[in-house]
Amino acid sequence: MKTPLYPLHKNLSARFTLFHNWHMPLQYKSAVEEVKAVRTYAGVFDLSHMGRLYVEGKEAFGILQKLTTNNLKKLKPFRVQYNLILNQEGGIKDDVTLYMFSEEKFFLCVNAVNRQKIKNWLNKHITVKDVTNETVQIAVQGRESVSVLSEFFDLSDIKYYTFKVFNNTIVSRTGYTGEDGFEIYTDIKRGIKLFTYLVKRIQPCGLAARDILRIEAGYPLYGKEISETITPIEANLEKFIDTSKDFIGKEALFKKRYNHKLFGLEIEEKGIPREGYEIFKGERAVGVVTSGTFSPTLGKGIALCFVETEERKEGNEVYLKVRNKLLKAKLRSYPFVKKSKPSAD
Amino acid sequence: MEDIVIGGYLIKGDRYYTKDHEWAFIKNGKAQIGITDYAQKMLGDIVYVDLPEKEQSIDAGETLANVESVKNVAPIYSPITGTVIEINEDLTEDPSILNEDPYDAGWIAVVEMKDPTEVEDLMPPEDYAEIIREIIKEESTEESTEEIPVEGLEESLENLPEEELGYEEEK
Repeated sequence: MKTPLYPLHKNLSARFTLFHNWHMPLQYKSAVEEVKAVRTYAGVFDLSHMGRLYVEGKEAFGILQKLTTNNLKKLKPFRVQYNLILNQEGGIKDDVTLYMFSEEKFFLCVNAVNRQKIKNWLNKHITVKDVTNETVQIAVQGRESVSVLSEFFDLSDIKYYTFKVFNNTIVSRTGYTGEDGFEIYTDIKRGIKLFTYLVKRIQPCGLAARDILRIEAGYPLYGKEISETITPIEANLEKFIDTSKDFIGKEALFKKRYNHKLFGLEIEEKGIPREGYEIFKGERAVGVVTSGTFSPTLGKGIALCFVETEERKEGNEVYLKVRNKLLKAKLRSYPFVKKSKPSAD
Repeated sequence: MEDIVIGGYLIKGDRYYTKDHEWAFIKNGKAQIGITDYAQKMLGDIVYVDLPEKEQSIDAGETLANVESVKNVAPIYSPITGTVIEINEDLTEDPSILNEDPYDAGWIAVVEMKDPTEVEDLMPPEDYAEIIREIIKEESTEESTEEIPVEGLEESLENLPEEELGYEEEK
């Protein structure tokens, strides 16, 4: 699949990657420069491969409340919530952002790879309208996002994790980079115009930069840190579970025994952690890397990893096995790069 | 031989190549080894180079070094059998040299050749150029979409038929 912005990426000489069947820009000129642009100014991303779904009906609130771990009572119209959909065994079917229009109308942004699965899962209970193919999704991330986007939208009252609608265009103050920023959902024509304008003003960023930024910010990615066999407790996402409500997977979730939990790792020698690399304490393998990268912001290798709960201690000195060498590393909490709070929050 | 440029990738005319995008510059029974312009561009920002040990013996096709870019790690195979006699320590300090100057300052190691006739197994520049030409051809047929110029796009948008604005599905 190709998004409607694909010809623009080609014109910008992007290098492409196949991400779950989508031909997406991996990087334009340099992933490092793209990360730096987002951390110091602003960057723009084509996220049109993500799934965009509307859930409407009298039962919408009740059904979504039953299918998710976070409490929808914390939502109000025009607020956004990060939420998790579990299977019966307590594993994560997907992580989503949930946009509330009213108790009878919600919008969901789901992972590209999970779109059909989530549609089927929701469809058992309520009608889902998939608008993915009629819309595009653009993210503008970085401290200058407001000034860059103000030309198009009045952003003054869009606070962190809220949204506004302008002529069928949803603009939310959300993102996946750990910086202030916005996600824009609009029709294809408007999207092409907006993206064309934005890439003249700010750095276009590909999926490589997106992955580095989210690792630095400590955000999980479906297929790496979260999956159908990993519970939100193991993925260190307890703050998105509301135990006061009932939801699918709740019982199994708290019954499941686990001995590994998600944590961070920072390497202390020259080397870069990669997915699948093992973490050692003495002779014993105590963990495994799920996502690793060189952090351009910190100038060293960092990783998200599952480690044995008893070894999951701040500053715990361990070794990371990189090919045939054991490199010094330490376990730590994340984010690796602290979130800069938007001024309007 | 003259240098060759194909699709923006430089191929130096004075050395030999492998299909895995390594080069070997042969002089007095020694092979200086590095990666090609195409390889460094594919890898992207190189942030770390895991060099071989001096005095280490190596077989052709064996991993000589590992080059790590931000998101990838690529093994570099030795084009030549022999003994590592020099390594480029500058790459430890500043790995980005490999991006900036892959054919010169970005060399990785020098190997004393065990068998000078091994050169015959390597590719001359024109053969490597053919490989690059094929890669580029494949890429362009894979992505044979209508080119829409970015400049003037806003104006031309109004005239575009709706069906050209949609999502392109694989056949």
